[in-house]
Amino acid sequence: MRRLPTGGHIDRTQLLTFRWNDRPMTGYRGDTIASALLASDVAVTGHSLHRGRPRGTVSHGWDEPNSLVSIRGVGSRSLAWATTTELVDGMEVAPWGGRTDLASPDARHYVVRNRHTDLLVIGAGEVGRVAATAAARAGRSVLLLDDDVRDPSLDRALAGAYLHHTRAVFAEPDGLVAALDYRGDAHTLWRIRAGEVLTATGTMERPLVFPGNDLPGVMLARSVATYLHRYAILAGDSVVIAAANHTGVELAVDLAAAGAHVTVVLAGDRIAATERLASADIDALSGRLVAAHGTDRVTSAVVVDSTGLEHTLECDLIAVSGGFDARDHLEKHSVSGLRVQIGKAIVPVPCPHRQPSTCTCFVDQHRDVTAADLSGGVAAGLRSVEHLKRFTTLGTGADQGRLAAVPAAQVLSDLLGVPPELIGTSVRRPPASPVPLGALAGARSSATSRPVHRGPLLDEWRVLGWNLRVENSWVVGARGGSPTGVAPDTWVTDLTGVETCILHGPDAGKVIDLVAGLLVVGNRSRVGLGRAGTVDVVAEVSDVAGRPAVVGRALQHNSLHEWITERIRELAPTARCAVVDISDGLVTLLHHGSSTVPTHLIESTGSSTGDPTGTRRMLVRRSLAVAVWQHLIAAGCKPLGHDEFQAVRARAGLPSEGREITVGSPPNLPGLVHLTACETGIGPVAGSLVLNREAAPVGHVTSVAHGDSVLPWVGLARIDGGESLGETAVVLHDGRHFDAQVRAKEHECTN
Amino acid sequence: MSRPIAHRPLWQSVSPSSSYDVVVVGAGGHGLATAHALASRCGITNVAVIERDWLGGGNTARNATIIRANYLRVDDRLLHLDALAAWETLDDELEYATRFKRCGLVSLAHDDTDLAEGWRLTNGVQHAGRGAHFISPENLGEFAPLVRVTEDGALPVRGAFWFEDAGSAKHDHVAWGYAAAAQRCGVDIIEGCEVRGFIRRGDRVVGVDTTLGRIASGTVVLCAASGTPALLSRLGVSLPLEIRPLQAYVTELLAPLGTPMLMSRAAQLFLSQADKGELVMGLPLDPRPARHRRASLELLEEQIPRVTDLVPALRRAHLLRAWAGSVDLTPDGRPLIGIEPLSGVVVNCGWGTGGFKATPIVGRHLATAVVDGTVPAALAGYDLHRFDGQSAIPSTGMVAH
Repeated sequence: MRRLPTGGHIDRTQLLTFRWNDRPMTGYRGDTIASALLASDVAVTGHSLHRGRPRGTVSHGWDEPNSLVSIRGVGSRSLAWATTTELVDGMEVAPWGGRTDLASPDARHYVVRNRHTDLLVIGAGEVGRVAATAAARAGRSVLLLDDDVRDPSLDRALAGAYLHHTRAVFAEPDGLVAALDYRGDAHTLWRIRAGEVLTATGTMERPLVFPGNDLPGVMLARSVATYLHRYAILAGDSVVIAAANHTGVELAVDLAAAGAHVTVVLAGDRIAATERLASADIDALSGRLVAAHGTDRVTSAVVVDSTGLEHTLECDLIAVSGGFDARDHLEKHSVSGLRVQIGKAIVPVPCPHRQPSTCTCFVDQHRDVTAADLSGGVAAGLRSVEHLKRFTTLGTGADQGRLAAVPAAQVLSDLLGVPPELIGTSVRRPPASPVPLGALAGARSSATSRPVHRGPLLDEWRVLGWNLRVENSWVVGARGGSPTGVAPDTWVTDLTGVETCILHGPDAGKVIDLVAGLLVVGNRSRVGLGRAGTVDVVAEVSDVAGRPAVVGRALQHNSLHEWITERIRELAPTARCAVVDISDGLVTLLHHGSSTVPTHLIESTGSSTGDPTGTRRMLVRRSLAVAVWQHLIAAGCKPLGHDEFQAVRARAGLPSEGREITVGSPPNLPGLVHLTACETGIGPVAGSLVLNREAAPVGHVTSVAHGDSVLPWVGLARIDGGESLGETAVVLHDGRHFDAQVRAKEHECTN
Repeated sequence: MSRPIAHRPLWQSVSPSSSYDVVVVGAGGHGLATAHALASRCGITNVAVIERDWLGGGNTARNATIIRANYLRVDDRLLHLDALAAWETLDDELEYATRFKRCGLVSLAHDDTDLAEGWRLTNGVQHAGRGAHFISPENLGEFAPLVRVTEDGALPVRGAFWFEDAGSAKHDHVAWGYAAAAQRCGVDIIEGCEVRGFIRRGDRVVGVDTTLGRIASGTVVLCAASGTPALLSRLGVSLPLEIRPLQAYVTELLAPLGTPMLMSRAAQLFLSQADKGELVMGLPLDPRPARHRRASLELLEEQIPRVTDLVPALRRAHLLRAWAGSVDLTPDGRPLIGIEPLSGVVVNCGWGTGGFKATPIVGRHLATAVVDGTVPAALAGYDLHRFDGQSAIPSTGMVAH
């Protein structure tokens, strides 16, 4: 293996230094890590996962099963394909080693970007480039993706509409394609919406299965040609080519011209090929390759000729090609369960199927699966390729087993006596090549997919020394400690999370009546029910700024807005009514006591929540919320934090959304009981167990107002259906027992 | 040229006989476990398991293999504690390594709801005499070192709960172990055999009409998961089942994370590292009913940011394969089990997202149901007709799972 003095598409003026296994090496700008290693005569790029066999580079792209590396220093990453990663000055490269170490450095960072196009062409081969340039000339918006290196001519023809080093990884049935620009450290995940998608991903070369086929120095013929032409690398000085097709002849001529000694093994009598080779003074042999020998790399090939005579050919490279198969992973992902059909151009596999311990006919080099392993599965009675995949782990490695699928079908065909096209390959699962989870996340975080709502009063709460935390995707403020729920004479609290939707349009009145009819009376609240009769939303119809409105919380749906629009679509699809969520512009405050707020500060006053002593719900414009809050506090109102307010409700025996009223709870809350401690002191927590007199669990505590030195704690509890409770109960929390009296049963809680 | 090597046989798919005492529809974990229990425990060996596709290829092959018993409802919890005991001895019973491993489970708590639910489970589990406890944010590093503990953001970590009664097993090996053991007891396993209809005599079902011909049967047991509604429709029976895709995905092999199984309700995350090193993660249910088994980019893009928020180091792990199962959901997230009174067909469905963990115990109970003609007490809470004419359902709902 050596670099030729001239040729290739590398920039010989830019010498790059890197380290391989701590050994200093050089390459040129334009090299991949794999080409630089080949140029430096490194044949062994790693050792196999289970059997520890030396392995070398097989291919020049994403299908590579062996040359997986991890990189430290410049361009660091936990796992990279040497065959697709551009060499950068200063890289420290080592074999991946079979497991990604999540603690290793990784310089990659990711952005997610969107693009829209009339026509998306995936693959800049002959078909792709012709289609893309023709469509662009015809005035259509086009985007051409290719996962290989940049082609300058396409840059000119498709200015700005050509993405190289960009691999399509997902193709959704609705036309969304995700593609990863994997070049350098800044990766982009493109989300491409295309009117039409043309997949022109070409073919992949089929490896041959024979004893010793995993030795470093056994490479795919097309990859040998790529290393020669693109990187000016002669991957061997003495080459045996075993190819089922014309590629082998072309490669032989090119390798011979570059100075290699070449022998071509032709399957059957192929006169035209023989003549061509003879004219180039290249040895040709009619027969088949049956074995490769060597320890750390290939040193000889064994060929049986058409007369049955065995020849041992000294060599340092075997270039193989078992034919070509459509690279159709991307489109097969969107079709569930379809199995790939395999073409007819097959070189017979001369595999003796020896014992698993000695067989070296590798079907899946990455997973170390041999023909004998497959044979073992067949001997155990397995027939389906899906079972054999799972039995042998075939195709489940980090390389996704792309090179292994078709050879496996060939071996199984031989073992089962069934044509390979009837065996097929296992169902292909996306993505089309491994994608870092970071790329799918990009700059997105849980906050973008699960937004946190922030009301306008956060600074007010900070001034009070409260802790801020997220509850049910809203930031709430809490004073801390163990609130007793003893309500002051006059108080105010922020009902964070209450949503407001107003209805517009000529049919708004009709729709509000419809919604009002859907909201049935539950325990103290009006609730909307789901299909199983369980509580979906807690809401009531109201009037905001003179418009019909629905105010409440969604338990089952993402939002109240979603629940209303779904009901309209279901029950009044023709209604001319728009639902507008104005929650972000409003704050809901709950105020109790005699102090009043100037009416011009208040948007709407909701109905009483049922407290006879005068609790009012106020809708306040977001911009005025601080003013209203400060006004009430100046007037002597005590601010109640999130936990204090929950405790007030618990002490009063009032159920709350998300605690007593939950997804799946029936509207009238059967089994709700109010407990009072027999002793003073801090009580148990929500989630404590309620035991009956026989110490059997019958329910659980849902809300607690703590006690103190003089006050007993109280709590609300849900008793499971059918269970009963006497006059007393024991509450169990984390091994501690609390005695309690059952103060009120469900009917007394209801009003 | 083949010289097959000696290997202990697993199972061999055979052609159906004309008649069996019991035909089980569906060669997933539940179906195979039922056949095995009939043959090995009840002495009924004239049994066939028929499968329209390949054995163990439905939700058995697609689930994330979580086995746990930390259920909110007492009856659910007891059933799954029994199941755990059955998992412990399964390898001996089947003479096959299903690689069951009890590793415990860490369930993260992000808000009041998580804390209340976590304590409810923990107190219930402790009361049952099993191990469970709260983990404070400061101590979480011992149990889940890669989780970023933060008070800010959309997923603050306010603690976690540890449950000892959790583990996993190798899903394929479970199906294969049952298949091999059942076949050794005389059970016929028939792959590529789809039910087209039922053969009736009067109101009773006396066999199945399949793509491989008519098969007479004393009893028919349905263990067909998302295939159940179509089968029941041929009996004129309708159950409140909704079919939705449930996805999972896997990374490359990773060095040990030091975390057993990790769950987060808010991130809708389930994460578990397999023996070999790959990380299996579950996605939330597809929000829409559908019958496909295709992974969807949309859900991955929604969930992965939450995962990488909670476990930032996973940004450098790679998504290798994503797939979906087709799960059968009931309104309360609990299964539907019973003997259809008109036809005599034993129905087992509605396990939704969590059927794998119950496999060894369901098989035994269904076998008992076949023999006794009545559903055993342990499954009585899953009555087929509990939703009939009801406007409301009891207790916990979907959150139970």
